[in-house]
Amino acid sequence: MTETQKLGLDNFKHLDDAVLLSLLDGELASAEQKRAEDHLAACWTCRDRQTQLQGSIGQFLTFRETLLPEDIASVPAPVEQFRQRLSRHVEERFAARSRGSKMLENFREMAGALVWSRQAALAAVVVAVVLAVTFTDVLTSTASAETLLLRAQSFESAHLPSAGSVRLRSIKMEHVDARHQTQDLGTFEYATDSGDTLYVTRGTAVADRKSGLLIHATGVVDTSKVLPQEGALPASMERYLEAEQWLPDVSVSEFRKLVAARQSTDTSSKKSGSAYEVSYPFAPGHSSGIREARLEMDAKTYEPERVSIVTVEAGEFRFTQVAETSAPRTEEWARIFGEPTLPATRIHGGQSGTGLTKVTPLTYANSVASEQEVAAAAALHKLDACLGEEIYVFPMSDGTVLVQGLVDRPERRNAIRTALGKLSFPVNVQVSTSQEWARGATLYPAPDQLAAANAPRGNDARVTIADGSGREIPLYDEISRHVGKPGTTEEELHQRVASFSNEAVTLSRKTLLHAWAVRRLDTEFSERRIAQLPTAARQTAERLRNEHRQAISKLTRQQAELLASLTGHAMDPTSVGEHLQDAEVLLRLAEQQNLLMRRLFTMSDPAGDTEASLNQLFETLHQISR
Amino acid sequence: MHSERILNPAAILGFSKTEAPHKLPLEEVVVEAYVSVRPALLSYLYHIVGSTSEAEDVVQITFLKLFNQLQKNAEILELRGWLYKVAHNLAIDSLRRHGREESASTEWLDGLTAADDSAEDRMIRRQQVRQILGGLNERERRCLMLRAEGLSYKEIGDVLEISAKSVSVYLTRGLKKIEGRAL
Repeated sequence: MTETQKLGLDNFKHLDDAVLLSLLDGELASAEQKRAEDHLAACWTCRDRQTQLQGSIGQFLTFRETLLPEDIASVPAPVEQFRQRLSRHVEERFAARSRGSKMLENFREMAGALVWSRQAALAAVVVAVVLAVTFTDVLTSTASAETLLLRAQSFESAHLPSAGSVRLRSIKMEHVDARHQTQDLGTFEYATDSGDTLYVTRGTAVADRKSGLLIHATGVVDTSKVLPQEGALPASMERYLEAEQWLPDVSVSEFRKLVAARQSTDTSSKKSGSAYEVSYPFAPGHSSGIREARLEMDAKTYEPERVSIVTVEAGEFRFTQVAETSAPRTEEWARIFGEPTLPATRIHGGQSGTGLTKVTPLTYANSVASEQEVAAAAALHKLDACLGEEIYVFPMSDGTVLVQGLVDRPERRNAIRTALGKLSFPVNVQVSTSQEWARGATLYPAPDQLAAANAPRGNDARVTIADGSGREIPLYDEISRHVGKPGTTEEELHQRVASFSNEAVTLSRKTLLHAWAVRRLDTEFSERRIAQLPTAARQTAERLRNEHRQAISKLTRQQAELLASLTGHAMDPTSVGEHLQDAEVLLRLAEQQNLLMRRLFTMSDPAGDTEASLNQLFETLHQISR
Repeated sequence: MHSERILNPAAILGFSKTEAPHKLPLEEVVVEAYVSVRPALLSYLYHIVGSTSEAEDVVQITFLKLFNQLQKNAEILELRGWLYKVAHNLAIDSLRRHGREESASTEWLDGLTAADDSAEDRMIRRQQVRQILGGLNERERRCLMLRAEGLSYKEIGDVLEISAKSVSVYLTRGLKKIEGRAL
């Protein structure tokens, strides 16, 4: 305490603003607060000042409000988008770290069609907060299906393999026909561990099977007799197993996926013997061909034991967990689980909902554009993905949008996925590098049915200006006169010519890419396809096209200027006006200018008459920019 | 009968004092938390980055980070402060990445078009506010924004990495500068 405080002289001194504000904000320590309050009680000046501060606070709040866009509060949270992003994030977190081994390469090769990154499903289980299930109530057979599923889920969460162990599972597959005859179809065996996953089947073959995989901790052996033969199962089961990547399990998370799109909300549950059974019927005539899905669990522990799928055409198929053990995570296992190269996004399981409905892409010719399509195209446009990259926006038969294509670098893939992930609606994105592209995944033909070969290829702008034999690019002398200065060494000059030529060729290639994009957009968002869209979407589609056309104008002008600087031959700068309406003609002209530029500025094309080429180039550029 | 009600994750996460056992998979907890905290974070971030979609993106990344944190079983003390701090830093990073200054700069103004009279009025008012707040320095502005979000001086100090005492000083100075500046 200071002397003034001791004497109580403090009360003569007014409170400063910081104290007044802190008092309002409840931020003063209790002794200080008491003193300040005492002073305020006695001092009109300070009370008035405090009111002024209050006023300023009110003002600030108004300012803050003013700056916010009106709709910020009313736009609903894009929950679904976030949910998807989160699950992608979970997948990526679980995607394995890089580690190579001979054995793994073998394994990967053979696993081919069987391998599936189950990160998403498993991760959900792994991270599930271990639930403290309380058994305070006595479950009767009337417990709801949903309650039972939740209990089964908590059983699973509480029984994750501990770190340092691997879980081995055997799932027996049976068929029960109309006469209640049960036929054993074989057993799936595979291993999973807590962080990463493995998808390893071991077949105990019963009938002739597709090739499968047997794995021991010491190596890989092909059994080629594991899975039911193609055509031996009804289509609905083929689809189910495919969605499960031929590794069915009885987990609640997989069961939930299975019933997610059943288009019905009915459920029922019953107790039979020592098990509970929950039933989730599908809507009548459901396109999956499934009538009902059931999950059985132990009545005491709620451990899920069996999934039954009742099909319309061929009776019931049962998947029963017959064994479930843990094994120490030996070094060999560790190496297997360190498996690095699975794509972070499951390309394969990308079909809608349960993966049971076969969704197919439509062509532009037999569909109309949706707002989603336009938005996805605009997002790709923003990333310049329309410039020579073969990434297409596919309208799908179920009304969703699929973006599919190959890119050359993982960073590019990530950028595209991120941009599309930000859209306000879910887009199915299958963009990968060709190395990552899962075997067996379908790469659809472009929806505009332009042959992919039409696409001008990306970055091959490297130019060769001389070949050492004395042969040079046609415009070498003109360029060197232009870029050379007195005292420039030969080598410097050479480099400058190269970079000048490089620029020229780059401009012409870009022009071509933009012309190609215009051509593509003309088909993608043709008058007919966008006629029904709201104005905003139509305008967006129009904007994409215009931006490419503007880019072409600009690039053409730059080319002309560049040429003029070499030859003194100027193009009429005022001629830029009406755009060429016909995208086909534009593309042809762009191809021609690209060819001519290459002919003049590189050695890659047979040199003709330089003067004639130059004239022709000017004429072409003039036509494009007309 | 034991009920399986879905608990408010805000309670789980410590937004309220209610003790509640986790009843949802972690992903769902995070989704629910996202839904309940998003509006407040979104408007705060908007003031920094100046675009709703970018602010939304930052909010989402913040909750992805929350997921990582919870998944590691890492304890988060004072969750609200933690969320604002992470979001704040992400927003600043994002600005830097795009080579922009804080939104006192005008990006969001450029995007506005006067479609009708009231929109025009609004634009004018925003312009005025921008001028007034432009008279504050970055710290003052940020302290005020965070305080308006309901953060305590200590929480604000944690976000901005300054002391609670300094927060009180910046707040006072900031308020003085806007005193009597009506629209």
